[in-house]
Amino acid sequence: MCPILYDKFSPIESSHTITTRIRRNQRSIIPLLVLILPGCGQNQAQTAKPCPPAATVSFASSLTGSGSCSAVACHGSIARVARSNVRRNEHTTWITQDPHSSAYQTLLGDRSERIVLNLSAWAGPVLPAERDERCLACHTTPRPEAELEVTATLNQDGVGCESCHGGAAKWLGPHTTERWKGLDSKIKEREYGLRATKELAQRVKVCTGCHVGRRSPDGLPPQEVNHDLIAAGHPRLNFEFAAYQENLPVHWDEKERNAAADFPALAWAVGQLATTKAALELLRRRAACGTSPWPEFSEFSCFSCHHELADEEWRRKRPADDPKVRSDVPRWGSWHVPMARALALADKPAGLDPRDDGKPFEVAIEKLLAEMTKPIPDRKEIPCQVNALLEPLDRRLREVSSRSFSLAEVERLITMFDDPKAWEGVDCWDHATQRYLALVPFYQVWCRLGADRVADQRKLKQRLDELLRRLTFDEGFESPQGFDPARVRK
Amino acid sequence: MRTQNRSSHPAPLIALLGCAMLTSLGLELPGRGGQGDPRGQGRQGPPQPRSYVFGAQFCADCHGNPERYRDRQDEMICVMDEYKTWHENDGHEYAFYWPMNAPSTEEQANDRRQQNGERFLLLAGQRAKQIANRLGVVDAVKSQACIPCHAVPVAGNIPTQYFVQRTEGVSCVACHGAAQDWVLRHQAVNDPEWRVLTREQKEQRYGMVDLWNPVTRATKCLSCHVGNADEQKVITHAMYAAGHPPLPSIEVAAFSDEQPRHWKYQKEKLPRIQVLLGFNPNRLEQTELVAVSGIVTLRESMRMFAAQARSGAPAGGGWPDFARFDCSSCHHELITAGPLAWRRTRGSSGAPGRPTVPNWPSVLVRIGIEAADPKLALQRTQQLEDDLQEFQLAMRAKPFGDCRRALRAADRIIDQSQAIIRDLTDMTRVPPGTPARIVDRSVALGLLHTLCAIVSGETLDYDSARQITWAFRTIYREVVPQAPRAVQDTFEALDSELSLTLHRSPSHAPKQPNGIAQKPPIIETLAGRLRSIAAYDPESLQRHFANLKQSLPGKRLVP
Repeated sequence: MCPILYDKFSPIESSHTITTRIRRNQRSIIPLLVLILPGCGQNQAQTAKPCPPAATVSFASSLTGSGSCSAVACHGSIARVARSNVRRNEHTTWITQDPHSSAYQTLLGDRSERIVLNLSAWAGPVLPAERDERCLACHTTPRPEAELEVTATLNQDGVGCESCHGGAAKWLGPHTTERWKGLDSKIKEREYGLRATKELAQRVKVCTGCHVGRRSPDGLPPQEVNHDLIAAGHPRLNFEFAAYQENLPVHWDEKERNAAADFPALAWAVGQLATTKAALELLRRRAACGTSPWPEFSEFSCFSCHHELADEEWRRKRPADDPKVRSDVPRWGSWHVPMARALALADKPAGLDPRDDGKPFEVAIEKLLAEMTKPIPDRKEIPCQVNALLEPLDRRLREVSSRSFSLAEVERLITMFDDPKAWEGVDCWDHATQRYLALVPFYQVWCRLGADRVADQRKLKQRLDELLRRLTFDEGFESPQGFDPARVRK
Repeated sequence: MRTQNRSSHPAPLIALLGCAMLTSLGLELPGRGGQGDPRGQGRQGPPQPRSYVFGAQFCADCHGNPERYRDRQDEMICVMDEYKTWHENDGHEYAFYWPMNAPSTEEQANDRRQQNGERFLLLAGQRAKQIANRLGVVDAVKSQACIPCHAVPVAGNIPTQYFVQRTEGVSCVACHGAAQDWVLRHQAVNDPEWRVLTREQKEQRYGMVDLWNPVTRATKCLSCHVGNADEQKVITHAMYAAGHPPLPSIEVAAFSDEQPRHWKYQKEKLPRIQVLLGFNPNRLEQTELVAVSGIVTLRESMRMFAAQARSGAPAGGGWPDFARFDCSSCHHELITAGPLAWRRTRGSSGAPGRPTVPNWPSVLVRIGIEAADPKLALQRTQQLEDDLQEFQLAMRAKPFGDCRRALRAADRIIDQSQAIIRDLTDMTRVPPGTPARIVDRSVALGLLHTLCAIVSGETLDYDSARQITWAFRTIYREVVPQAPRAVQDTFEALDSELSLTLHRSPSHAPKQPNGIAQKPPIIETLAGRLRSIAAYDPESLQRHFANLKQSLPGKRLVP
C-alpha cells in the first residue's frame, strides 16, 4: 500500500460530507457510542466511503491509551520517586515537557491547515489533517485506517506511551508483578508486545518509524513524509538519533551497558547505522511500489536544488578524487549516507568480523550511489542493490552495538572525523551538519574519559560552537542561505 | 572596420567588384546564369539558394559606411550604418570573441587577460574551458554543442569569404541567411529585377531570410534564446551546472531595442521609403512584434520540449533534461516569512513538490491571440489554456513528468499556436494590400488592459513578470510616445526591480586603444541579474501595475 496517494480520496467528496464525518468523530469521543456509530453514519454520509464495521476493531484493542499509565502510583507521579526501580513520573515528564505529547495538537494548527489546503488544490477535497490516516500514522499511535474512527480518543494522546512501548493490553497487568522483572526482554516483546527499547538498535528502530519513515507490512498505515508533503508545507525529516535523544526530555534512566561513560558515542554509532538502515529499507519499498513518486526527492539533498542561483564555483566543482560525482543532478542520500559510510570504513573495533574491513559496504554503497545519481534511477535495480548493502550494514550494526569506545579510540575517531582532508570532501550542508553532529557526542565522551586534555577539548569546543553558528539557518529561512563549504572546512 | 580598405566608392561598383571576384572564384550569380536556374535543377523543384558564409567584414564594406550613401538616402532602404551599430554596441559580436591577433605566447595571453578580463576569450576563456572540461568536451571553440549559438556554424565544406569564425561571433549571416545568392544579388541596389521580388521570393529563391516578417524574426532570435533542436541549438542542464549562465526569458521586441536595433521600423524610415514599403501609419509594428513573439515563444519552447522528449537519448539533449523545467521552481531559498516567502502562500495547481515547466513562454499568448482575431480570442484562449493546463499537469503527474501525456498536449499546443501565427502573419504582411485588420491603437490599448489583468489575476514568477513588463512597456511607448512622468517613474522602478535594461554599452562609451567600444563582458552582468531574481517580490509588481492601469489612456483617445 502506498501512503502518499492523495487521489485515493474521492474528489467528489463534498465539504458537507467532510463536516459530517467530523461531527461523527466528535461524537465518537464518547466511548459508549463508539460501537453503534458506524451504523448511524451510513445514513448520514451518502457519498462518503462506507463506515468501517465495528467488528474490525482488532488491532486497536491492543491499545489502552496513555491514560492507563498515568496513575500517580504508576508513572504519573508529580515528582520522581526515590528508591524506586523506575522514576514513576514518566507520564508526567512526557505530558508536560515532551513535544511528542502534543503531536496530535499540531494537526489542528495553521501550518497543518495550509498543508491540507495545498494538497486539496491538487487532489480535490482532502480530509482535515486531524482525520487523515497519513497524518495520524505519526502524529498519534498508528492504527489501521478502518479503526481510526472508533479509537478516536487515542488521538488526544499524540505520540503516547504505546506509540513507542507497544500496545499495553497484554502487558499492562503483568508488568506490575514481581515475576515480570525476571523475564527476558525478548520474551516481553514477543509474547506481551512490550518493545525492548533499552536495546539501542531497537530504540532507534522505534524512532525511525516516524522520523525516517516506514511502510509496515502488518496492515498499519504507512508512516511517510515524501517531497509532495514537504512541498505542501511539512518540515523535512532530519533525524539524527544521538542529537534527538540529547534534546529529548527523557523520562528514563539509562542502565547497565547504556550507563557507561561512552554512551553518547555508542548512541551516535548505533543511531547512524540503524537510521541509514531504515532509510535504505524505505528506499527499497518506494522503489518497489510502482505508484510511489520516483525519484523520491525527499531522499536527496534539499539544498542541491533549493538555493538561489548565484554564480558559485564551488557548486560546479567535482571532487578531484571522485569523478563519478555529478554536479548537474541532486545528491541522493546526503543526510543518511556520509557518516554511516565514514563509520563503516573508519571504525574497526576489536573482534571485527574478518570478512569485514568496510569494503563490502563500500562496494555496495558505491553501486547504489551510481544508480541514484542518474536523473531517473532505474527503480527495478534498487531492491537488489539495497539488499546487497543491508547485509554488511547489519553485520556492522551488530558489532557496533556490542562494543565500547576507549579514550584512545574516541581520540582517533575525533581526529578522523575532523581531519582537514575529510572536510575537503564535504560539499553540502547535510554532510557538514552530520559531521558536526558526529563530533559532538565524541567530544562529550572525550571530556568524560580524558580529564587531562582540557586545553585540547576546549579548542574542539570552540570549533564546534563556530561550526554550529555557521550551520544554523538565518532567521526566516529553512535553507542555509549563502552556504559555502569552504566556510565550514578546517 | 578593422582590415578593410575604407576608400569611398559607390555601391554598384562594390557589387561589380564582388561579382567579378566571385566569378573569378568559379562562382556564378543567380539569375544571371540564365532563366534564374543557376544550378540547372529546375526540373527537380525550385532552385535552392547555395550556402555560402560571408564574414561581417564583407557586409561592413557597405553597411559600415553610411557617409558614403548620405547623398543617396532616397534610394537606400536602410541607413547603411547597420554594421557600425552591431560592431560597436551589439553583444552578439562577442558571442565567440577571440582577439584578431591571437596571442602567440602564454605570457601575452596572460597580459591580455589581465588587461581585458575574459571578454576577449569567451569560448576560449577559462570559464568556457572549465565548462567544456566538465561536460567532457575537448574544446569549446570547436564543439558543435557551443558553436551553433555562439558563432556562424559552417557545415562541411561550405565556402566562406572574409569570414573568421572566432572573431565575429553571431554575425550578419547568422540571422540574414548564409547564402551566396542574395548577398551578391542585393548589392545592386537599383536592380529593378531584385526590387520587384517579394520578401518571400527573396527568401525562397535567394536565401535572404525575411526578417521583416515578425514570425521569422522571432523564430530566428528564439532559435538560440530558447533553443532549436533541428539547428543543434540545445542548452542543457548539464551545461548550466557546468557553469553556463542560465538563459533569461526573452521578449523579442524589448530584446531588439536593447540589442540595440541596427534596423528601423517602418515608422522611422524616410517618407519615400515608407511609400515604397506600403507603410500604413495606423499599424503598430512593435506591438505586432510583441503579439507575434508572445505566441512564437510558446511554439518554440514546446518544439524544444517535444524534440528532447522524443529523442529519448540521455546525454546531449535527451530526456529528462532539467533545463526544460522552470529554474526557479527548484532553485530558490526556502523562505518562511516576509514578502519573499510568496511561494509558500501562492498555492499550487498541480502536485506540490514536482518541478514545474516555465510559465514565461506562455504568459504572453493571450496578447498574440487577441491581436490575431478578437472574435476567436475567447474560444482560442480557452482551448489553449486547457491544453497548457493539461501539459503542466502531465509534467507534474510524476517527478520530471509523464512524458507521453505531455507530448500529446505539446503537439496540440504547437498546432494551435501555428493557427494563430498564420492569422498574425496574414496581418503583418508587407506590403499589406488590404488586410482585414491591423494591430492599431485601439487593439494595443486592449492588449495593455489584458496585461494589467494578467498581473492582477495571479502571482507571477520573476521571468513571467519580466515578459509582461517588457511587453507593456513596448506597447505603451508605441501608443503614448511621451509617457507621463508618473508612468516613467513606474517604468524606472520596474526596471530596477526586474533588471529590464539588458547588457549593452552606450555608443558613447570610451573606446579602448584598439578602437573597439567597451562592452562589459556579459558574464559580469550575471551576478546582478541573479540577485534581482532572488529579491523579486510579486506584490510589488502588482502594485506597480495597479498604478499603470490607472494611467492607461481611454479608448476615446483613439484618433
